[in-house]
Formats: sequence, C-alpha cells, structure tokens
Amino acid sequence: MSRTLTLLGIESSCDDTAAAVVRATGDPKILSSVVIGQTALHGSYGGVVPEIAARAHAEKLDDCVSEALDRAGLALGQMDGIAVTAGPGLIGGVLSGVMCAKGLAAATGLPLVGVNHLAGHALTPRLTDDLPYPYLMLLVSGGHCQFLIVEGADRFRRLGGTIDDAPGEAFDKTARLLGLPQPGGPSVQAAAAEGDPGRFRFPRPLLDRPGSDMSFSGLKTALLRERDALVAAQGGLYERDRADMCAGFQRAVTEVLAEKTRRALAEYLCLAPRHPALAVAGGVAANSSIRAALDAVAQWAGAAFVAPPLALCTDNAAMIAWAGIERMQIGLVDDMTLAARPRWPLDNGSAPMLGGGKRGAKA
Amino acid sequence: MDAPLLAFDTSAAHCAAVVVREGRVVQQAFEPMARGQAEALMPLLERLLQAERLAWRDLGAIGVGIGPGNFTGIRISVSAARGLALGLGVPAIGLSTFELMLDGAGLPSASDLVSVAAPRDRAYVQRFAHGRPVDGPELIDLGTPTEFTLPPETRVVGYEAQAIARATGATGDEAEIDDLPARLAAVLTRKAAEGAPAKRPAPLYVRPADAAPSRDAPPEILA
Amino acid sequence: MQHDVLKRLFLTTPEDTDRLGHWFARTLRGGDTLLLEGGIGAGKTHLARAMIQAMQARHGRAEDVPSPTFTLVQTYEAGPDEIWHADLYRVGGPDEVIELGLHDAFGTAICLVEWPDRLGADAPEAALKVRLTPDAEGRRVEFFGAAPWADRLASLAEVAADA
Repeated sequence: MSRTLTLLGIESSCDDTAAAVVRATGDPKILSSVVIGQTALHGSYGGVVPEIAARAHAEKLDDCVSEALDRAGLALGQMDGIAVTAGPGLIGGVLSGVMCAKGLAAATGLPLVGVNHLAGHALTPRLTDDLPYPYLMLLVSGGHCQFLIVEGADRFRRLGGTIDDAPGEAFDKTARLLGLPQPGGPSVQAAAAEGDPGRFRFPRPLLDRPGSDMSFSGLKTALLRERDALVAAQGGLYERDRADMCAGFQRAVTEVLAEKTRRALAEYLCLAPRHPALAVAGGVAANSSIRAALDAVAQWAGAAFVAPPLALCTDNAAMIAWAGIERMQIGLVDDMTLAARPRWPLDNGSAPMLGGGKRGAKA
Repeated sequence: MDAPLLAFDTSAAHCAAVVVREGRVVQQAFEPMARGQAEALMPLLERLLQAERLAWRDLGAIGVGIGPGNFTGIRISVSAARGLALGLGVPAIGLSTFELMLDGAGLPSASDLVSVAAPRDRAYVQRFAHGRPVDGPELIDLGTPTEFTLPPETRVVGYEAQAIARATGATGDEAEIDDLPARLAAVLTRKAAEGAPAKRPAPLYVRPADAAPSRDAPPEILA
Repeated sequence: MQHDVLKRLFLTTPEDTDRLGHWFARTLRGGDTLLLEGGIGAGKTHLARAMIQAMQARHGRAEDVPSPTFTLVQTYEAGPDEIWHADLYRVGGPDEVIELGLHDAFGTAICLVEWPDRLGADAPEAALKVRLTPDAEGRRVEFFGAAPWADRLASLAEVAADA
C-alpha cells in the first residue's frame, strides 16, 4: 500500500478561488476544502469577466490557503507537497495559483505538483468512491465536454467529445439569448421545469454519425432562429415561449449526452473491466435531467453510476490535492519552471476531434 | 544584525531581482523578457540566493514590485511574494513604480508629481509630499492638457515630466528607471526599516477592471 | 476608419462556411488579422475553426479547436505561422486587450478576432472585417477592408455564390 501523503491543493483556473488539504491513507480524507466563489463579482456582467477574476485570485489565494490549513488543523510544514492547477483555464488566475504555489514550495522546500484541472475532475471518483481503474468518465462543464477512459493518474484515453461548444457554454449562451440570468445552467433548468419540451424540436447534431463526438453549436443557432421568428411574429417572447424553448433545448442536450454516453459505454465495456463504472464530473452534471438520463444509461449497460457530491463535481481544490497525491505516488513532481497553460488537452495521444472543417471540401 | 532582504519585479518586459545584506546590494539581476516570466522568476531568485549562500529561510522580508505596469506581470510577482511570505512567515512589502521612480530623482521635495509611462500615449501619475504618497494614482492622457491642479512649486518627476509640467505650470525633471535592482534595494531597505506593513502587497491598478456588460439585447418578455 | 463593402457572399450550408475557411487558410499569412463580426450563432467560431484546422492540416498538424469564449485567447501553430484565435466578448475594453498580448501578435501572427468592437480604435488598420449575419437557413457574409484586400478577395468567387 502507498505511503500516507498529505497535500495542499490550490485551484484558481476560473472564477472560484479554492484551497484544500487532503490526506491519503487507506481511506482518503478531505481534511478541509475552502472555496471562495466570485459569482457576486461577475453577476451583473453576463458571465465571468477575466480581469475581475484575475484580480480577485491574486489577492485571495493566500487567505484561502491559510484558511484551509486552519480548518485542517495543520501547519504548512506538515504537508508532504503542494499541488496546484497549472491549466487549462483563464490564464490570469492559473498564473496566480502557480506562482503562489511556487512561493509556498520554495519557502517550505516541499515538492511542487502541477495538476491538469481536467485530471482533477477525472480522478475525483477515486477520492469519493475509491473507483478502480479503468472507468469511463464524462466530463461535462462550462468549458469542456469529453468522454475519457481513466486508466491511471496520468493515463487518460479520450473516446470523443464536443467538436465545438461545451454544453455549459451552450446553457450560458441560451440564457443570454433568452434574457435569463447567468450562469445559465441553473436558470435554464429552472425555466425548463415549467416548459413543454415537445413544442420546439431542436436538432440532435452528430447522432447520425458513429462514435461519441458531439456538437452543441448548431443547437444555439437553431434556438436563435426560433426566438427571432417568434419575436418577429409577436413582438417579443411570452414566459411560456421561453420556458418551452428552455425545455426543448435541455431535452436536446440530454438526449445527445445520453445517446453518446451509451456508445462510449459500449466501447469502454470492450475492455471487460472487472468493475464497470460510469462517472460524471463538471458543473453540468448538476443538471437533474441530464443526471437522471446518464444514470439510466449506466443501468442499461450494467455499469455503476458514480456522481460525486455537487461540491466535488464543480471546481474545488480537494480534487487538485487528490490528483497531486496520485501523481506523487507514481513519482511525478515538477520544478520551479512549471508553466501555466491556458489550453492543455488531457490526452495527447489520441486523434483530435476534428470540427466542421472535416466535412467540407478536401482542401 | 538585520536579516538579508530579497526584492523582485516583473511589472514590465523584464525579470529584475536584488539581494540586500546590511543595506548593501550583494546580488542583482535584470533580464529583459517579453514572455515566460512565470517560468523564469523563481529559478532566477534561487540563483541569486545560492550565489550568496543564503537559504530562503534566512530572509527577513520580501519586496515586490506592485506596478502600475503590466497587470499579468505584476500578478506573477505579487502572487509569488505572497506565497513566499506565507511560507516563510516574513512580511511581503509592496514597492510601487512611483516610489521606485521618485527614489532615483534626488531628494523628494515638498510636492512631487511622479509620472510613469502607460500604454496608448498616457501616463500614470501620483502625488507625493516629502516622499510619501498623498492621493491615489491617476491615469492621464498626454495628448490633452491635464485638468488637475497641483500645489505651487510642485516638481513633476518621471515620464514626459516636462510636457506634464508645461500643462500644469509646474517644473519638470524627466527621469526613467534605468537601474531597477538598485531602486528596488533602496526602497525596500527604507520601507523594511519602518517595520512590517499593515497590508499585504496588492497590484496597484490605476483603473477599475472595465465592466463587460452584455451586448446582446435580450428579447422583450411579454406579459 | 470606415471602409466600403469589398464583397458579399451568401453561405447556404455549414459546408459553404467550411469552404470559405479553407479558402482563407490558403490565403492568410503572418501579420493578417480578420475581425469576425456577428451576434451569437452567426457562425464566427465555426468559420475560425474551419480556418485554423485547414491551416494546420496544410502543415500536417491536427488539434482540437475549442471555442475561445472561456479562455479569451488560444494560440495554435501552423508551420511557420502562429495563429491567435480570440473572443473578446468578456473583455472590458482596449486596456484589457493590451494585457492579452494581442497587440504584439497583430504584427506577426495570423489573428482571428471575434467580438472585435472591444478593440476600439486599436483594431489594426490593415485588418479585414468579416461580418456574418444569419439569414433564413444560411448566412450572409460581408467583407470590409483596405484596398489590398480587394485584390486578395478576387479569387474568392469559387467558394460560394456572390450575394
């Protein structure tokens, strides 16, 4: 069995400043997890404003670290390492996190571990449910949507993913188009609850193609057309129209995710895993309609369905500390030249998801 | 005996650092650098400390450039300084570009307006009285005459000082920071002698982050 | 500075947009900037993605081209050229654009900029403005720019019907 490791984790890649202390023994334990959200700072601007986010991270990170240590009842010197999100994400925030972590690591002489934010999400089911490798992960958030077979702390095989927008972005843009508040996930879900999903028939792109690639960009265009047609006909939208559009949109996203998950599961099950499991992570996994559909698909395939508690599905630093522990256990640490990366695919081995360009003329 | 001090600055296209022992600069570096400061900074600092056979733990305070300047560059250094300060349990002290500029301009006068270059033909300015900042910094347009009034016998020091002085009826001393490590050392030594600051260093933003309001008009919601 | 419309096109299908992207991929060189105007769903990212992937394909590279809405700027390599794909929707104004490093890129890289109104007066003088407007099932495209673009756009006719 691996030795006991206690790591400090730091996360600042979007609009949450977070720090956590996680200890790995036989049974991993989250000793503390502090998340200072910025929703109130960005609320009136229709989404995360990068400069506002970067300013807040630079001035809150050390407080966040102090509080995480206090709540864990441990001193910095009692850590075995410092893990930090080194990307992908908003570069201003990632840089602040990486530099703060370097300062802490230099001051204490502790190992520095750069963690891919997506790996943090993808490894969370091992922290919460001790899920054995390999498992299928659907990572679905504001900026990402992909199916990964998680084979090890640094081995991820992507089966497919979005070729354009992420579903979280589609929810946000739908909210923008319909005058609903940001973030779009909760507001669209709330409006959809009152609506008739059958009134508007939005496209299910790429369902006609094999594989588990997805496309959500056309959905937004279709919604825009329906909206503009109604506005032209009646001078605006009734609440009813808006609810029906949200319901139709949410159903389309849900059906695409469910069908593509079914295909990804089939591919994953070819590996004959001893404990087949489908895990989800990312903010979109909080959508109850999507969650229920994924649960049903997993049951149909005979796989366990693992959805970590919401606080560990959305951005947090416990997942970064945990991913750092997993990396340290296999000897992966970084030095003071660790770089912050806005774009950082988890799986550099598999072919990229080609977008629209592939459909056009062969140039 | 005073503990050694370390200061660094990445507020423009450079990495600058200095180690001070007993009031003297013992190690310094200035490397022009348009990109990659986040990767280069810590190894640079470690080289300077090693050259002086110092460990991080030996330091008594950390000085850091807080700008105004390039936001990203400033945040790189400020975040590192705050991490170091927390890890070492020593104070981190913010050093503004205005203070660094004024330090090189002879003895401070009763009223100095310090000017620092800003992008797009503008300047950041801040007023000092006897070497202490009086008001908050401002951003001024060099193309249009400045409207603020200055106390009599104010000296304008720094970037485009004479042009600003002409527009405001003051005297102007053009100056630039051409020996950044020495300035960092001098200002840090002076401020460290005053004891730990009440506040941790924060980037000196002269303007609030511009709001990015939604630009798609939402549809009208009918009753 | 205002320019007259150099050319108008109508793209009937997404494949037409891809073909326009491929045409640009053959035409663009380091230092060129395209300002992609249009509301949500107008096809700005689709066109930019088609260009980037076609430019990469010409140099034997293939990468994901995610939407830059979240990260603001993403950079790609295509042979000797660097491509910058920016979405300035969430950027407050010209000062924040400077922070992104876009100004330095304008002179050397191929820059594809969505929501370019945030550049204000800092938009490069030599840029080509591409305005996309959804129209029925397709998209209208209008090109605006300085004189050299008129010549460069001359070979564009085969891509799609002139509007």
